[in-house]
Amino acid sequence: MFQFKNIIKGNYLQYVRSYSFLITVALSVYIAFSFVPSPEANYTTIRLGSFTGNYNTAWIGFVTAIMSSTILSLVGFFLINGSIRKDIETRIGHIIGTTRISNTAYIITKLLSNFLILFSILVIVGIVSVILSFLYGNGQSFQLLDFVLPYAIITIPTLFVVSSFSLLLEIILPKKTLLQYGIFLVGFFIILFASSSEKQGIVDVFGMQYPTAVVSDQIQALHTGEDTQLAIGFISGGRNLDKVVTVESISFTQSYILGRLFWIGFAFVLAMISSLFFHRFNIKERLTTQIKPQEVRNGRSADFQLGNITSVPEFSSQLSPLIGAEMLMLVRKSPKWLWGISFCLMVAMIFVPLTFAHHYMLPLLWFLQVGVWSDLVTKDIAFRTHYFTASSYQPVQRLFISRIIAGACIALFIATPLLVRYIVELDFHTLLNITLGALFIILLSVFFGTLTKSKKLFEIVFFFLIYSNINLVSITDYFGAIHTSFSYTGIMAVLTIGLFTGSYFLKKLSYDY
Amino acid sequence: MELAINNLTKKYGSKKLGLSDYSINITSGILGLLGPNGAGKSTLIKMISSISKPTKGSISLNGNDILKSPNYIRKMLGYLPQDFGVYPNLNAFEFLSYMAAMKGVGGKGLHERIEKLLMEVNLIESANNQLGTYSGGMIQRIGIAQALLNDPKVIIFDEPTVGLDPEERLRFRDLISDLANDRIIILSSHIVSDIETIADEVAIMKQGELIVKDSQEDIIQLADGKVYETTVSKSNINNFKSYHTVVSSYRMQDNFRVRYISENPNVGADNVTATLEDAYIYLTKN
Repeated sequence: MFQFKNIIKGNYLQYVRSYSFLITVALSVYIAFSFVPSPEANYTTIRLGSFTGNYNTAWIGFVTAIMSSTILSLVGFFLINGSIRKDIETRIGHIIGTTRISNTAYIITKLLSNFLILFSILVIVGIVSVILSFLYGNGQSFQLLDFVLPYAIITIPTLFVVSSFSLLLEIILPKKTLLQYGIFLVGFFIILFASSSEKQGIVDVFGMQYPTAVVSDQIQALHTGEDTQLAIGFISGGRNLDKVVTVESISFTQSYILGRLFWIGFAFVLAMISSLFFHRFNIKERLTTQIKPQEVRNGRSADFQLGNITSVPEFSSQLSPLIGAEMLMLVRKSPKWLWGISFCLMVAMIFVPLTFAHHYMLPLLWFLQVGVWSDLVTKDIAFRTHYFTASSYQPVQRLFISRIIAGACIALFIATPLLVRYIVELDFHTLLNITLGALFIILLSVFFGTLTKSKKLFEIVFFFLIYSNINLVSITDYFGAIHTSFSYTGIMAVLTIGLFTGSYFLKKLSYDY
Repeated sequence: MELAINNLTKKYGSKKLGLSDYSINITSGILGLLGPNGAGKSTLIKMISSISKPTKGSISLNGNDILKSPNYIRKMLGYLPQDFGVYPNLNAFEFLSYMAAMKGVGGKGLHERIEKLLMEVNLIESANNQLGTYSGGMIQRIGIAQALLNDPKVIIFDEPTVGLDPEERLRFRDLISDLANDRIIILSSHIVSDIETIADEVAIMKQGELIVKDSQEDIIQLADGKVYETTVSKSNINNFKSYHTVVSSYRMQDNFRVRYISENPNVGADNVTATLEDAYIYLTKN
């Protein structure tokens, strides 16, 4: 037990002392603010039919606990996913593999460490929510239990499940990060959809059904026969003041609490089952179809054949070879099956209604490239080539710019069917908006990557964006699907230039020259 | 070619000194840079390679201030870092083309040069395989090839023989000797044997300072007459080590044959000819 504690402590300290944690804290504060919109905000996060709650402790506790259970799970997955991969990349795994720690013990410590990280975020969300409850509560008294119990009973079991599921995916798909993300997202939305439905069932991982039913009953008692169907997320439209109800504290039944404990137990069992498949860092190197093992063996103890190299290359500061090589790396980064899906969707974009292609398909197609764009400028650290790039000729003016151009070219290539349709329609304004959107998303990746030296922040923000885009949240429309005014185009142009300028100077600073 | 480093200081935070008032003049030829871990070798190399800036001091190449114009040295620099990786999705040819573009070289001769370099480091057979499939030694050789891509006039190798087998290590030394003519080659290592066979001059560093820079013969002279060999019993070996600077020891049944450095040797100890390793130990441990 003592060893467990020390390993978990080590994992946790390593994370909280990293730069990513600062970002996580900032993100958590932002998330908490977004969970509890101000009374005047033009969106809500939880509605039952068209009803929302008065900002008392019970309502804020209910909303933030449910939102944490769902949205925080989504964001949290991206934060904690990679904890085993980190041990592989740092080669600590090779040492761990030779120690006495059993696979089960290792996976359980990872589960608890992941949970602790998510729990830390939950605590921050909780603290900010308390502050907001005082801010928006109009002097209503603060009932600690009304506030804390929903977190403890609804949210915490979900965080355990997410921690465990992330480990399972890392174990069974150790080198396929994109596939891990894909499977999680599909699973998340299926479970969210099932949990939001009226039918009660064991699939309610997020623990939403019972508390929602209790609140719904309270509303029904006041407004008989009204629709109280749950809507969750960032729902556009402010509160209808005629439909604000005062929600009483939720009393959790014994069977519901047992149900939530079941999910904690499930998380541990899942982790233990996962540990049966754990590779213990003995992962086969991926061999491409081109390679013949015999050739590699021959090459290992080969000679340096001394000769006189007479050909001296010319000096050339052209960007095209760099852009070409960067594009090649971007294309190769995505697996072939993903490109297959992308090509199918690109072809489909030619035939589906224009609005559908623009509103839904374009952001989805771009999102499929998240794994590629997120390490546009962080790959030097991941692949340990940063000394080469830092000592190259004009690294910021040439290499950095080439990476941005290569990324934008891929984004525009993906959007080609849509761009062609707008050209045919002679709608050059929307064409400009999409082009700005492509540049914006690439520069967002570059800016976050340069700032944090990690790809996580961009991945999380990009996911938030796609989630909001599909829900048609207008403020996150960066590619001109909803907005058509010239002032919007101007704002996007300013934002894009701002991101470019910020990234450029950050990069200059990071190179010390 | 002349690389002049004057009063170079690198501070990390307010207390930690990476390099302290370091001055050295390096001309064409091979300079071996020796020093224990933490001596400041990598700090110095990063500053010469224009990766990091000193807190104070100056570095100039052929009279050009490279702190003000880092691209001057970058154009003619070949650098092999101690710890580096490659892009696993590129093959050897694509990677070297990419590195050439980063270094600002191209034109008609590039393709031929890459081919010849791949032949030199004997990777031409596997040039079409993605680098993710290469062994550690092969990656090290790709690193050596990329350092020579732009026909560099200043070559910096930081621990270049890591990952090479003994045979490759010998051949690497030959390769460096061939390159030395009109170039500055800085070879950093803590493996003395890598340096003693090829370096024209040796600079020894300790705790961020330059202790000595001279020819091998003159450095060895510093330890001459102070290197001894004696036999010590197994029970006394730990006690002996606590009083003397031991260079090496090997076991002979119940005794140890010990090579050590001392101003006041034990009675019966044999005075032996000093080597570069003896001088290095003498200068860094005393």
